[in-house]
Amino acid sequence: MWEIASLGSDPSKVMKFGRSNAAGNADLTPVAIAAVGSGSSANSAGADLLQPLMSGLLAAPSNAADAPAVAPVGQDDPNFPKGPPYKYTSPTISSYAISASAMAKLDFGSLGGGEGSSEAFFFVCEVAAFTDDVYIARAADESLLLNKYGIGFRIGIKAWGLESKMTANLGMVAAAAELNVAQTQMEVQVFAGDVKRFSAVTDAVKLLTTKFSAETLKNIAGVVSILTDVVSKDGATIPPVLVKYGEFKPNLYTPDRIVISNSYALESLGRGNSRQNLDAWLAHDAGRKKWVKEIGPQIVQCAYENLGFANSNSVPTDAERTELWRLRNLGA
Amino acid sequence: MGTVSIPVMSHVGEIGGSKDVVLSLLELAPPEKIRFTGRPSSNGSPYQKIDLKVVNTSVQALASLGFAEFVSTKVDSKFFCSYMDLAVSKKVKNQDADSFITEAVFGIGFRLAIIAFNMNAEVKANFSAMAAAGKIKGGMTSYQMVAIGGGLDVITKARPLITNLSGDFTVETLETIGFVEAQLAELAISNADLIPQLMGVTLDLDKMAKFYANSKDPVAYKSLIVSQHFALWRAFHKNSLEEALSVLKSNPDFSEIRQDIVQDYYTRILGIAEAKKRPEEKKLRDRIDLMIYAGT
Repeated sequence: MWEIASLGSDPSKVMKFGRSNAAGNADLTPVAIAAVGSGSSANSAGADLLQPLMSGLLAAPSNAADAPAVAPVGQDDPNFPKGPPYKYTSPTISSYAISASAMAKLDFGSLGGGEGSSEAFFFVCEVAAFTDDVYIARAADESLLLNKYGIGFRIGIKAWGLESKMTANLGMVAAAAELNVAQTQMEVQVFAGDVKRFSAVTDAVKLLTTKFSAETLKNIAGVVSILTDVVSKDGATIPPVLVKYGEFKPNLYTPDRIVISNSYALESLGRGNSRQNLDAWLAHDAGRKKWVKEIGPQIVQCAYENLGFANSNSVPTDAERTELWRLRNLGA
Repeated sequence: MGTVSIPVMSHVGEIGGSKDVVLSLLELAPPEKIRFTGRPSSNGSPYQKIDLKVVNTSVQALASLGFAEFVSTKVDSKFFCSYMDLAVSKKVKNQDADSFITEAVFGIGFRLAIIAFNMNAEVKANFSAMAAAGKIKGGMTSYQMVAIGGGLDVITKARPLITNLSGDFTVETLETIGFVEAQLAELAISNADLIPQLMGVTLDLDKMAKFYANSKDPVAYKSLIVSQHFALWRAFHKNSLEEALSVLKSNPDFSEIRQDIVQDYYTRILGIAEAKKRPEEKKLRDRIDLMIYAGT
């Protein structure tokens, strides 16, 4: 979801920590621990764990068609939030299973590829806070890149050797690991205008053991807790960095799309389908049916509600269907 | 006046030369029609608690609310998505009279998205059932929480939930949510300078219909749907505008179809200036096919 939006001439502000739990490796040997940018961002305790690293993570959308210059990270940037105290107003907190393709966008370098990657499952835990304003850049493929100023952290976890049934959340991975079938790898990313403030996490990362277990889960919670403390207690004094907060690819308004979406709604209701049916079309038929990718779900919602079906799982009665089918056939 | 309420991402920004554009609505209208320029006042009306309604929804809708793509495609493809807003909120009227947005909901709290796998249809109806079923073997959940407004204090209040995030959505999770929500309500009441964020908007459907039909007269949304659909059928059958209007006038069954909307469909949307010209060229046929086959 986020990437650092711009490097500018200032040192980039990301620290990454990782640990590999490849089977059989009983040592707590840190792997791919890197700080991006100036080496002086390390405190002495963690200095041996931190190495400067050039990072593609920080690229602004270089092929953006008409992207405005994304503001450089720095106090002289006119959009840079005023502070301290910084007004962080938009926290995000989540923990979720994520697809491989979405994971690839998050730039956890040490988790990509490697052993068992085609059968791996991915999870992300993240806590972050952002200021109110959003800066929009338009990428070449018409998607909108949303940039915000913020601080936060994200833990990426890769697990493999699991049956697909068991992977909805980390608790299940831990349970599977107890049975000795799961192997995992983890990486922590922190972003802020001053990453030194998060250096407490280096000690916490040492607690992450090799074999994924319920204990590991507690220790991940511990890392999350420490980082959350930094954000919530000291956050107002930590300057932000501009991050690519999200990518938004709406089906932009065109008159044709309104007709297509209203037409879809009328057809779908006439056949007795709820609004949730749209999911099935989008998931299974997007390749075969050209109209699928033209649909605007919000317009479909407007049409459904206007025709009397406000809940996403409401379906017409037989009598209602007859009337809807009549409307659908006017002019046929 | 027909209205519809839609949840939105909190992002409001400048795009296409317009400021204060509600980005979530970009599929509905050009930017200048989806602006929102009201702000909640810090004094005045107090926050109301939002009803804890569970809304069944789609992966698409969750993505449009800013939730990250969080379904592992390797898991059983039968999954159900829901979201729930847990927040205190205020309604604010739009100051932009031109906009399709009449008013908006600003709040402080959480938006929770849950995906449930391997659940039977009855269970997915509400979070409590899902939470209980999560304990039953075979049912699984994955959830994401987006905090809305309020700042770093919200993260502090949400600590019990944060430490809980890695497991299933269970009955305990529900209780923790309830506890955190009560804390948030207190926080919002005692802290007038907490900044709420945009959570949802109310849209004026008839204003939208009038715009979509390019009409000078009022248009009911339903009238828009059926009139454009009539015109679409006639175009599909390769009628010219003149032929389509002739069909329209000849049959009393078509009395609810608006002639001006049919005309607008041919002249503006299909771009055919001459009333006798039939829509036969390939580009037009392709566009018409997309419209007529939608949903089949």
